[in-house]
Order: sequence, then structure tokens, then C-alpha cells
Amino acid sequence: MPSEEPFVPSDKTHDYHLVSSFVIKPTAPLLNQDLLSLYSLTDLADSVARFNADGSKGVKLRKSYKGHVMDLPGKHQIPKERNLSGIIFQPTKVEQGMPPVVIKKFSAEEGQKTLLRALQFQKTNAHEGIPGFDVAELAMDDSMLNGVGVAGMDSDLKKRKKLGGYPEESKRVHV
Amino acid sequence: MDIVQPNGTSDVLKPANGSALCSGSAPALPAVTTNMLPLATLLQNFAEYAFSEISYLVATLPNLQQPDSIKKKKLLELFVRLRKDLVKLYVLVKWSARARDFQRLIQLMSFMRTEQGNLFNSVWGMKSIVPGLASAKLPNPDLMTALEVFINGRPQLPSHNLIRQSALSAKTILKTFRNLNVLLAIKLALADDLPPRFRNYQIRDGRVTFTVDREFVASVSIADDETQDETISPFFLIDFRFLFGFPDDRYVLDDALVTPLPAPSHVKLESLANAVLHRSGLPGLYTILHHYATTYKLYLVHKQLANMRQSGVWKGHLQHTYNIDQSTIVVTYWAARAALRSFLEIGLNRKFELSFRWSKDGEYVSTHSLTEGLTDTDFGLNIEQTLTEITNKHAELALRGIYQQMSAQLAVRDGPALIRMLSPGKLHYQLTHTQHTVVSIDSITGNVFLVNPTPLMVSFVTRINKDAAAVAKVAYNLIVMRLEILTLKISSVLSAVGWIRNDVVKVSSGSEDWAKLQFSASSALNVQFFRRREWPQGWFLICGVNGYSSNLHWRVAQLRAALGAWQIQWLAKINLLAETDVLCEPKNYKSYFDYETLAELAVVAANKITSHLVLEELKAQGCRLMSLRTPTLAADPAVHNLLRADKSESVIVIDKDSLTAVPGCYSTLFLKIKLAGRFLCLSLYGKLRARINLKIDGPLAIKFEPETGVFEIQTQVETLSMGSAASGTLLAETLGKLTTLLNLISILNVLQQSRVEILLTDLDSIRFRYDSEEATLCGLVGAGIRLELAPNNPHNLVAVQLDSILATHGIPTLIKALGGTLPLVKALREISTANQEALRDAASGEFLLPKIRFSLFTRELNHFQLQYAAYLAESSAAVMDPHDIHSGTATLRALEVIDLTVRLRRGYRGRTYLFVTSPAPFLREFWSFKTNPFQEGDEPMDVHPLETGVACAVSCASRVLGVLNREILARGGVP
Repeated sequence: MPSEEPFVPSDKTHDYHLVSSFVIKPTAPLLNQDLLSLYSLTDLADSVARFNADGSKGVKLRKSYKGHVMDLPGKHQIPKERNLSGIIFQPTKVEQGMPPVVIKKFSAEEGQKTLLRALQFQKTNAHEGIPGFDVAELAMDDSMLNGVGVAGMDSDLKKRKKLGGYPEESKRVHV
Repeated sequence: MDIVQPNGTSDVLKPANGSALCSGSAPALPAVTTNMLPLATLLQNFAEYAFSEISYLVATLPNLQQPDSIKKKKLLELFVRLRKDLVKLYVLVKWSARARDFQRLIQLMSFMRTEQGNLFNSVWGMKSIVPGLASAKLPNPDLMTALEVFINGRPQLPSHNLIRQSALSAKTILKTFRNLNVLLAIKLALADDLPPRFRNYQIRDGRVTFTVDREFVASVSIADDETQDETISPFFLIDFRFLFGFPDDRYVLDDALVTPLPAPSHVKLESLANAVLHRSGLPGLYTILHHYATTYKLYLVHKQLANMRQSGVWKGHLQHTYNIDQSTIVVTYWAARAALRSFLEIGLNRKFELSFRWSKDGEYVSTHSLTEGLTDTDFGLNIEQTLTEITNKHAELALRGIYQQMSAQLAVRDGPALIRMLSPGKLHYQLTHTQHTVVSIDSITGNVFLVNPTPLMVSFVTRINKDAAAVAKVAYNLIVMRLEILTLKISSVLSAVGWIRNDVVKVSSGSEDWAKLQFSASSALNVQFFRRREWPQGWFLICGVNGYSSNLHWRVAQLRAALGAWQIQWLAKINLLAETDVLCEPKNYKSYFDYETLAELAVVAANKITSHLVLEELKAQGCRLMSLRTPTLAADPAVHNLLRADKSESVIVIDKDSLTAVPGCYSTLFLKIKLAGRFLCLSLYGKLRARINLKIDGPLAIKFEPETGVFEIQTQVETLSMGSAASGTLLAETLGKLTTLLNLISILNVLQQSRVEILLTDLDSIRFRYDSEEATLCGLVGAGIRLELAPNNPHNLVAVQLDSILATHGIPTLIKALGGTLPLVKALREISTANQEALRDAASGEFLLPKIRFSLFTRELNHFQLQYAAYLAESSAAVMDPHDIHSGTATLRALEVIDLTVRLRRGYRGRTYLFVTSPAPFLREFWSFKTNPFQEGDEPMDVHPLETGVACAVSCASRVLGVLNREILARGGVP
């Protein structure tokens, strides 16, 4: 039991028996309360319940990003092996003893030059593509492609059409 | 806005203070902050990360030396990666709308986990109380016993010192002590069986204290003086302690080293001793205590040994067995050695005292000077000290054995001994004359070790220690070690001064050739073969190193490989110690070797070789040699100076007469041989018998001093050709030159006897003057002698004949002929010259006048024909060759030919006369001497008329022939 007060032998301690003045308080909240409703977590619990109140099957928990990004255009294959902790929990530069990162546009004149210098490439043959790079990785929608010929895209489109295109109804999404 | 990572948990249990977590009446939950991060921070972190990645790529991409496709791929891959992360971020941001609920949920989870832990702990707490409760149970009240105690006062239960007792008064105590002291004094005084070593006692404080030196102190008191049984001793032991100890386990008591006795042992000893005391009285007590102390000492020794074996320097080199039943300890020291076991037996002797026996190399040593018994000094019982003494002694004895063995074997003729004892534990061992070491034996391990060892020495020491058994073997190994070091040293010094070691050559020991080397038989002998770059093939210097001796044995030999073995063809000893030379100072070589000596060795050895080769060649030519001490010529200061050889030269005395028969010089020749680089310089010295004024300048390198008559012939032979080519190559040139010189000298002798004047001499030619004419003898060397005459020499007339005389009769005849015919040929030349001038003038004169052509024909050296041919020139053509007339091919018409024959003949009284004859009719009157045509002036001429000529003395030739010539020419119309 949690000892909220230190044990102090009282003056009236009997020679033969231990009589403690230690007071045990009940826990707060009490464990026999409905904690979910007490803390307004019923909605949250319901959203992941296997069965609804009416006994029908609840939402299935998906362990992929697919259901969460259906509102985004394009087809996304998001790997689950790596999560964002490495990036977002890393100490800031200042904490690492380095100058802070100042985000600025590349549009400054100097930056422009840098960009030009860095990204001045020869045009890639549309039919050959860039070796070792899968265009599908870009997850671009047809509308985004806007007539730009990208190798491999044609077959990809065909495959999709064959499969019946994108699913029309979006599944129920749990959050 | 806060978001919560799903895996976030917290042990922190704190009341949430001031947070708006609880809704309504819900109590506050403990806050959980671990792994919580504001969404803003999260987004900023990601943005910074993405910006850094892009900036980095943009900065590095231009510098990347790779094709565009790869650069593009890198760029695209970054974009794809960032995009995927952004998608995740997007999902996260969507989810964060409900983050507050999740945070609450987490707090709730945390709260519940804490409660669960508490419950679990309570259960365990209760459970741990259970066993304790059994003993808390009270027995049933034993009322019967309580009554018995109460009524009868029994049983007497321990009071547990709860009942206080009144203290004894000091007075009572003192009185009791005094009584006891008196009692003890009386008892002891009356005791007739007091052991001798118990006589040292002290009575005090109611006890008698026996002190047995270095063993124990025992205190005995008396309990009851009322006992009636005489056989039972009234004493009992009240205190005991040892009077010895060992340094590791000491505590100081009265400044002495004692060993504390453990309390249980003390108790046991007391009961045992009291039993014995009770039964056997004080003698029994002494015996048991003495035995106990001694045995305990032995145990302490065992303990020390066990300590020594576990750590410290003795570790690994000591073994011991403690036999408790027999009270012995056997300590084996130098345990790691392969030699016979040496050990120390520690045990109890008849007096039950600690003593030891020493077994050295398997034999008991009875005559060691060590103190019997263990070292048991005031500083305590110390087995280590005893053991050190024993091992030191053993090492000394072993080393002395090695020394005796080696000093008996190492023969040193003179100079300091190779081995000597520096101290009982150190043996000075001279390895080379610059290197020495100190041999010692480590008393702890028993291993032999050397001071300042080289790797080679270390390997030997390892070998010695590995199988070291007998002293003889150690000594032998040390000797072999010295041999190897010496060999190596010599080899390196020899290499440094230009010798090349040859490991291919082997002369198998025991063979016939081996015997020729004459190395003393030794079990430690190294033979090495060396040669020098400039030496001819097959020649070797052999160095024999004997491990038992300080001397080196040098040989120089010619070896030949045949049928897989090396055969000695020739061998000579070199004794560096006594290499002396007759003409030089004795050489003071050191008994050892140094760089200088070994460099000189090259010279000495080379001299041996070259001398041998030269001698072989001389012998092959049948030459006799003479002793260098032959007093004849060597005493001559001129020769002596020339022969003053240094050590690089050697001199051979040759009997000339056995070499060449040409006379002219003394029969002793000196051949000096010197090796200079690749060349062998041979100088042959001799002295001419006659004084000859000879100046020799030529390419033949012959030196001659006219004053002393000493000549020197120098030749050089390339050494590499020596021995390989056919014999006779070394001296051929020298001897050839000698022959040439001697020939020349004999010719000169002849010439001098012929009273010709020698003008100029070199080895090839002699220019000399006879009367007024000069001639040269050429080709003395080589192709054959021929005579060369000056252009104006009248003898040119008879050059052919002279040459044939030279060839057939030799120089003396030639000289004689030259002298004898000179007046004649002079006369003939005069006439010939005069006539040719006169007749040429006439021939260019008028036509149709008869002309005379004069011809001179040489028939023999002493036979000439003068021909006067008269003719008429049909034209005024140029002067014709008189020969044409004679041959009849000319267009001239001969009118008359007059032949005048001139001969030199031996006539009356052996005198040589000139006979001039002619069959011509018109001279008949002339020959009759009607008027002496040869009488000119007052000088009478030795002319005698003949039938068809005249005979006259040679000296008159010029005049007689002149008169005749004038007569004939006048007849022919030439004025």
C-alpha cells in the first residue's frame, strides 16, 4: 500500500504489541469506478472496440498507413520498418553543441545559383528512365503526371485499369 | 498541443498539478511526461532535418564525380524518402487531434500499473510473514515444572547472568595467590621428576610458568593439595603459548615472534595436556607439549612452503609433500629441471627436534657445512632461508663442478685462462678475446644463466637447461657454445675484411683428405672455408676452430671437386702465431685474431698460394731451388736492398743454371712474388758477372743498373687465370725475358770482345760502330737476328751476304767479316761512286764517241766483279741502264768488255790478300809491272804482280783499284 506518511512509532506504543498510527487512504480514483467514462475515454474505447454496442463487428484495426492516407492523391507504399522517432526525437543542433539550423528559401540569389549548379542535369531518355529508380516510388497521380512521359508508367496504368481502378468506396477509417 | 507516443510509459508517480486532465469530479492522475513532445517541436525537428538533408545534397551533388543518372537517382531517392516520412507525419498530425484522450489514457494506464505493483508487493509481504508466525506461537504453560521450581528450588536453570554475584575482594585474591605460590614452590621443590628443560620456571600470581626456549611457555597451577593419591599429579595447565613463529604470520609479543594458537586448538590442548598431566605428571606434560610444539613447527614449515609455492619467486620451482603420519616434509627444489631430483627431508630426529637431510642430485649429502636443524633464530622459523642456503650451496657446488670439468678440458697454451671463478657463484668465461660472459646458476630455478647473453647464447642456455643433467654435459654445451660464437665471430670478421665464406665445400671428417688437414681430434671442431674474390678457382682458406683451445688453425689449400667429394690437392699450414720471414721482422701476431690480422691473412695466404704455384711451375721446368740463406748474393747490399720484402711479398731463390744455360750472370736468381689486386707481380733479380754498359729502355720492363750489374725483370699475371690454365703460364714471360736478357748480354760480350763500339742498346737491337761505320743488330727478340746497315755504309754492297753469314755463322763471324772486308768494300764504293759520276757526264757528251759503262757485281762477300763495257751510242738517248747492255736487250753495240775480278783470299802466311785479276789482253802489259803503276809518291805499296793480275794487301785495296780504274777508263777514252 502506498505509504503516504512515514512510519512514526507513537508515544503510546505498548510494550508487548505494535500499535501503528499509520493511516491507509483509499486510492483516487477508486479502482472499482468506471474509469473510462470518468475520464471521458469512452469514445476512444468505442472507436477501437471489436464489437459495437449493437453486437455488430467493429472496425478492424489496420496496421498499415493505407487507410490513413486514402485522402491523398497517388499510390503510397509506406514502409513500416522505420518510424519517425529517429528524426523527431533527436536532440536539436543546439543541444548537440552546434549552430542551429536556419531554414531559408533557396530563392536567394546565391541559393539560386547553388540550385542551378546542383540540379543541372542532362535530360534522361524517357523510355530508359533512371537506372535503379522505380518511378512508382514518386506516387504520382495521373493528373499530376500531366502528359509527361514516364517510363514504366504506361504499364502501371494498364495494370491498374485491369484491376478495376482505384477503389471507389473508401473504407471506414479509424483514427 | 501535446501528443503522446503510444509506447510511452512512466514510473513517475506524481500528482498532476494544475493540469486540465480531469473532467468534472475525476481525481487527478499522475502526470506522465516521458517521451512526450509538443507537435510544434516535432514538426520543427522534421523540417530542420529535411532542410539539412536537402541542403547537404545540394551542396555535395555538384562535386560528385559521377554520371547525372546517379546524381538524379540520389536526388530522387531523397525526395522519395522525405515524401514517405511526410506521409507518416501527415498521418501523425491527423491522429494528434485526439492526442489529449490518449494522454489521459496513458496516465490512467500508468496509475493502474502502479496500483498493480502495490497489490503484488502486499501479497508478497503477507506471504513472508507466514513462516515467522509459527515461532510466535506460545507453548502451553508447564505448570508442573513451575511448581517444582517454586517449591523445591530445582531444577537450577541458567541464570544468564541475571543474578548478580558479589565480587571477590582484592585481599582474598592476593591471599589465595600467595598461598598458591607457596604451595607451588613447595611442590616443585619436592618434585624429583622435573624435566630438565622445565627447570627454567617462575612462580607468580598463583601459577608456575615454564619457559622452554624457542618452543613454548606453559603455565601450570595447582588445584587441590588435598589429594591423597600420590600417583595423581595435582597440577593442571592453565595457559600455553608458542615461542616461535614465522615471518608471515607474526604478531609481536614481548618483541618476540610467536604464533598464535587458534582458540579451539587451545581448548583441546588444555584438556589433552591436563589429562596427560593428571596421569604422567610434569614429565608427561613436557613430552606432550614438546611434541606438540615441534609438530606444530613442522606444520608451520608446511604452511610456509605452501605459501612459497603459491606465489613469489619460488612458484613453480618447488614441490613438497607433507606426511602428517610420519611427521616429515619432503621439499623438492629446482622442480622444473629435468635433472635428478634434489630434495630436503625435514623431519624429527631422535630427540624429537626438527632437523633435515639434504639429498643432492639423488644422493644424500652428509658433509655439508650447513647448520643442522632449521634456521630458528630470534627472527623466527624460516624455511625459506634454509632453502635459500641449500640451493645456493647446491648452485655453488654445481658451478664448481662445471668449472673443474671445463678448466681441465680447455687447453690454453699461453695467455690468461679461458675460465675462472670470479666468486663461488660466478664463473668468468672468455668467449673471444673481446667477449666474455659470466656463467651462474640461479639458485631458485637451478637453471644456468649467462650475463649479457646474445641470442645465440640464449639458445644454448635453453638447450643446457632443457636437458641439463650431468656436469660434463653442461660443460660440453658451454664449450660448444664458445665454439659457435668464435666461429661466428671469425666468420663475421673475415667477411668484414673481404673474405667470402663458402658453405658448399665440405671435407668429410675421417676421410683421407681430412687427415691431410691435420686438425687435432676434437669433439668440438668447426671447419669453415673462405676464399677471396680475386683468388683463382679452387683455392681456399680453411679455418679450424677448436672449442677446447684458444688457438685458431689456419690452412690454405687447393681443393678440387671430384665425384661429389672435395679432394685436397695441396695444403699448407699458416701459423699466425709464428709467421716469420727471413728478410723481415718476425710478426707479432696476437694469440687471437683481429681485423688487421685477418686482413693480413689474405696476404699471407695469397703468398702461400702464389709461391706454391710458382714453385710448382719452377719444379716442372726442372729448376733447382736454393736456400734463402745462401750467403752468396743475398749478402750483396745491392741485392739485399732490392729483396727487402714486406709481408705481402715472398722471395724464392733459384739456381739459374738449372733454368737456362745462357751464361753471363751469377747463378743465383731471386724471384720476388707479390700479389697486387688482381695481378701477380713477379720480379726476377739477378746480377751480371761482367760489367756491361747497358742502357735498357723498352717496353719489356727490365731494369738494369750498370753500376751494380743487378737486373730486375718484372712481369704481371692476372691471378684469375692462375691454376686454371696450363702450367707454364706464370713464369713463361719472366723466363722468356730472362733468356732474352741473357742472350743480349752474350751478344754484347761478343761484340765487346770484337772491339766494336757499342753505341746504343735496347733489348731488341744493338747499334754498334766498327771502324768508322755504324750498323745495328735487330730482332734480338723474336723473329731472328738481322743486320741493319746505315744507308751510307759501304757494306750495303754485301748486305745479302752478310745476312747469310749472320744466319749461318753467327755474330762473331759477322763482326770479323765486317772488319775484314771494310777496306775492300770502301774502295769498291769509292770507285763505283766516282765512275758513275764520270760516266754519266761522259754519256751526256758527244755522239758517236765510244762510251764506257761501269758495272759492279757482287759474287760473294769476298768476290766482286767490275765490268767496264765500251759502246757507241747510236742516238743521243738518255743514259741507259748498264744492265741492259749486259743483257743484250738494249740497242747499244758493245765494242769491248773488260772484266776485273776482285777477290779476298788467304795467302802467304795466312795473311789475307786482295787478288785483282782480269783476262783482258790490254791489261797484260799492265800486269807485268814494267813501270810500277802502283808506286805513287814515296809510300811503298804491298803489291805483287801476278800473271793476269795483282795481289795486294787489303789495306791497299783503295789505291790499287783506283789506279786500275783510271787506267781502264783512260783506255776507253774517258778522261
